[in-house]
Amino acid sequence: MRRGLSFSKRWRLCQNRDRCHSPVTSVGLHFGKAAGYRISLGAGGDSLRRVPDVPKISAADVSKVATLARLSLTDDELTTATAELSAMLDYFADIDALDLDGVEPMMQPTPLANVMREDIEGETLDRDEVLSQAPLAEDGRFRVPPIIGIQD
Amino acid sequence: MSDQPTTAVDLAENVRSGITTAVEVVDEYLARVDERDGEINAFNLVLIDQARERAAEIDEMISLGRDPGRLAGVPVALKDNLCTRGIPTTCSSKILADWKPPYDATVVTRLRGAGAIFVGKTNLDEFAMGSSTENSAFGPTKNPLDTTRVPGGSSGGSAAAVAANFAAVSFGSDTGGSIRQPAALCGVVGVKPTYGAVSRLGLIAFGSSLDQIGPFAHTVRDAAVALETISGHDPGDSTSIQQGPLDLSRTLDSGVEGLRVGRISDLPKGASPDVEERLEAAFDALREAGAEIVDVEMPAFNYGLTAYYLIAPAEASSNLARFDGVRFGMRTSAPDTNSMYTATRTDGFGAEVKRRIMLGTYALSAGYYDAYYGRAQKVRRLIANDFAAAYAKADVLLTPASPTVAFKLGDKASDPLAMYLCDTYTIPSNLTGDPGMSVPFGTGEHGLPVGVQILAPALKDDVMFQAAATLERHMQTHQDQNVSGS
Repeated sequence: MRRGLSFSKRWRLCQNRDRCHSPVTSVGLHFGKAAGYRISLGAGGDSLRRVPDVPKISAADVSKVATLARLSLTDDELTTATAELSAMLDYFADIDALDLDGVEPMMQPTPLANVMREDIEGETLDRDEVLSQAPLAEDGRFRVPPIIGIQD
Repeated sequence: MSDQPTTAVDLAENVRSGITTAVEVVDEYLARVDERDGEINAFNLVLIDQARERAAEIDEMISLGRDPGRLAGVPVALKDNLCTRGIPTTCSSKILADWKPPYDATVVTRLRGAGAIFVGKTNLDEFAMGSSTENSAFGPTKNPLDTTRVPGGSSGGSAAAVAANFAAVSFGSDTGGSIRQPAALCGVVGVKPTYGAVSRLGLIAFGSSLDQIGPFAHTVRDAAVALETISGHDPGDSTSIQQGPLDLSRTLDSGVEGLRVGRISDLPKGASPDVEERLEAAFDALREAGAEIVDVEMPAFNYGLTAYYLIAPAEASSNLARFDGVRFGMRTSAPDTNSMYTATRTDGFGAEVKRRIMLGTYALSAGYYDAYYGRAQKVRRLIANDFAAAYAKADVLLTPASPTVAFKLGDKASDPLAMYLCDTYTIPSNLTGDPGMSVPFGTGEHGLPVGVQILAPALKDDVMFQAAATLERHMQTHQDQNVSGS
């Protein structure tokens, strides 16, 4: 089932972030994408409904992801990021409806595998030039603060 | 000065034959940059002294009877994610401000070897993440055709540099449409070649299985010569296809007689009416030139956006892990290594980059890998299967390059998803590695340019260029570029 909700309409729907999490409009983001969703027309005939989802990602999840990615978020940033990532993951749920059993994953587009170069000497980067671009270097090495220090 | 030819092919010919000098050419281009880039902001860095020095060297070679190459004296702009030895390469990010790479990208080496002259490093969405060049740490680039509008992105600076004639040719990178969409919005030719046709060595990585370097130019022939110059195997990139440079200009005028041009009957709806109208005109033009229009179905095309926005951020989260305040760029001091990493990355990355790193980290994280990254890779296979089936029936496919003409600055800046939808038509061929290009084909709303996208199977870049040259010739011989209501 493929329907042609315009981009402008999809944009309009997802521009209203509050409504993005409501069961009424989250479907607007999926419309025209996934077959197999339970879709019905909304009261106005213009919007669409989907059976509500559980929230796609929690603030605690986002906080954990930020830590893994070595990023620190303020409380406001965490709230915004949670809303944005939730809306995205909700949009990306269109592929949930696809039957992917037995489909071979595609990692990269070329047929190349295990490419080896000739084992011959070549030019290497100039160590001093490389180190001159590091924030801190000493005795021909990168310098960093203590590895063992304040715990997270 | 104003009668200088603007195509790169003519410029190089005139420089090589002594009709003009490289110094004269470069001075003319630098004068235009000086006059107007304050308004456009296409460049992060203008290489005034280096360009003049190099131009003098080119002229010297010619006076000694040596041939500097096919791009002799041609002013070229480079997206600021292409490494240039000793010259700042920032990715328009605070985290790399002032970093000077210790080596040149392979494309830079090849262009220099062909006699090109680098006039500057162009602005981009930070780390090439965006579709408007508004996500730059150094401020947005404006569309030279209407400075209240975006040039597209992420290679917006490179597209604007050619559109404003600050450079005869420029280079960008295309991970999900970052060459083709800004080319469409700025009214220039933009090419994403077959994945692996151009070495990625020295291109600061965003999505390694998707990234590809390609040219912007005023004409299809200039784009062909530019791409021939940079393509061909490079042992320094293990994904580089093991064959010589692409051969494009030789067959450029072969026409499209008997060529099967595919119309995707279930293409995602959403292009604006003016864009649809120009796409129809392009089908008509190719039919008129002897091509056969065939219908193809590609049900998985529509899932490209989802597959891409799980795969590209996943690859980005891994690639951008190297920016940790140790080896390059800036560092925010902290008492121990771990908190130094976090402080540096938190200060150094902009909002969109952080958003994608988090999305990618999540898609790859324990417990979610199979549901997101794993499934996205399977969808990627379905899309590749769709393309294979379509290319059994058609030699090339035609779609819009962008759903709309250039939009206003700020229009989508606060809505990540709205911005992502700009790439609906360009993303699928990044997932498959097939070539795609945008060719200006008249104007739409507000008299702004519309780009038609031509897609072709891997390593059929030459056939794609034949179709592009045919559309270009059509525009030169017909005065039908204005659509009603513009």
